[in-house]
Amino acid sequence: MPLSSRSVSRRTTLAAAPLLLLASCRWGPADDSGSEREAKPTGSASAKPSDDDQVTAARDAIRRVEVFVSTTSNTHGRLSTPLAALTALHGAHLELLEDHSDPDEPTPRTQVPARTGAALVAVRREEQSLQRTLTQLAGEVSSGTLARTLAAMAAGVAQQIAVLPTNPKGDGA
Amino acid sequence: MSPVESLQTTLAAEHAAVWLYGVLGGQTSQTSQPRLYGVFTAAYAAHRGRRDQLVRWILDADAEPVVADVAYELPNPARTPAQLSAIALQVEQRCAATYADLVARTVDDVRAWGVTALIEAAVRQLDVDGEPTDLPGIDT
Repeated sequence: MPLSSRSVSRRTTLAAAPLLLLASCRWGPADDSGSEREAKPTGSASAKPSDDDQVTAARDAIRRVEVFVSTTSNTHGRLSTPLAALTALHGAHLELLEDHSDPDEPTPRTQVPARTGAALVAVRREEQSLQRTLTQLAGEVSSGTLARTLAAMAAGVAQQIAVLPTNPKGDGA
Repeated sequence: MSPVESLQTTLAAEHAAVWLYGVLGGQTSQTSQPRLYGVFTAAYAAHRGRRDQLVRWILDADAEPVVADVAYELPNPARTPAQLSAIALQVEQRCAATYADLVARTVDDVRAWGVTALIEAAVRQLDVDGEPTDLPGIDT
C-alpha cells in the first residue's frame, strides 16, 4: 500500500515524540525496565560499541538502502509506485534516528541493475539485509528503548518486504 | 516492571491469542475459506509455541506462570470473514505491542526472541487485512 511521504512523516513525528525526547539524552539510560544488561558489571564495555555508535550504524545502513531504493526508483520508473512506501519508511526511520547528515554531503554512489526485474530482486535483497542489521543492532544495544525502536523498525521493513511485488507488471526481464 | 514481570505480561497475551485463534479456527471453514483457515491454523500453532516457551522461561526463573482466563471477550460477533480477520488483527497488534515491551525490558536470548516474535506478528497482520506501519508494535 503506497503511502505518501507526507502522511508517513506526520504519523511518524507523532509516534516519535517520546523517542525524540529520549534522544536528547542520547538514548539512555533505557527506561525503568531493570534491564539486566545495564546492571551488569561493565568489564567488557570497552570492547562493546556504545549505543551512539549503534545508532550511527543503523542510520548508515538505512541511508545506504534508502539511496539504493531511490536510485532504483529513478532508474526504473515502473517501480516508482511500488517503491514509494519503502522510500517513505526509510525517511521516517532516519528522521527518528535524528539524521543530521550534511545535505551538501555527496550521495553515496550505488549501482542498480539495468533490468527492472533484477532491480526489484536487488531491492528485496537490500531490504532483507537491512532487516537483519536492524534486528542484530536491536539485540546488541544497551538501551531498552532504543532496542524496542530498532526492533520495530526491523518489523516495519519486514512488512514492506512482504508487500513488495515479486515481479513488476509487464516486465520482460 | 522486571524482566520476569514482562515475561508474565507476554504470556498473558499469548494465552489470549491461543484462545482467540482457537475460536477463529472453529468459526472458519477449511473448505470455503482455505486461505483464512490456513492463516489462523498457522497463527494458532505459532502462538502456542511461544506460550510454551514463555512458560519454560518463567519456570526457569522460579516464578509461577500466569494462567489463562477461562474465556476472553470477542470484540465482534465473529461470523463473517471480515469480522474474523478484524479479531485476528487486533490479537496480532496487541501481541506486537507486548513483544516490543518485552524487547525493551530484557536482554540477550529473550530480547532476540522478542524481536523475532515482533517481526512475525507484524508480518502476520498483513494476512488479516492489516496495513504496513512505520513502527509495528509502537505505532499500532
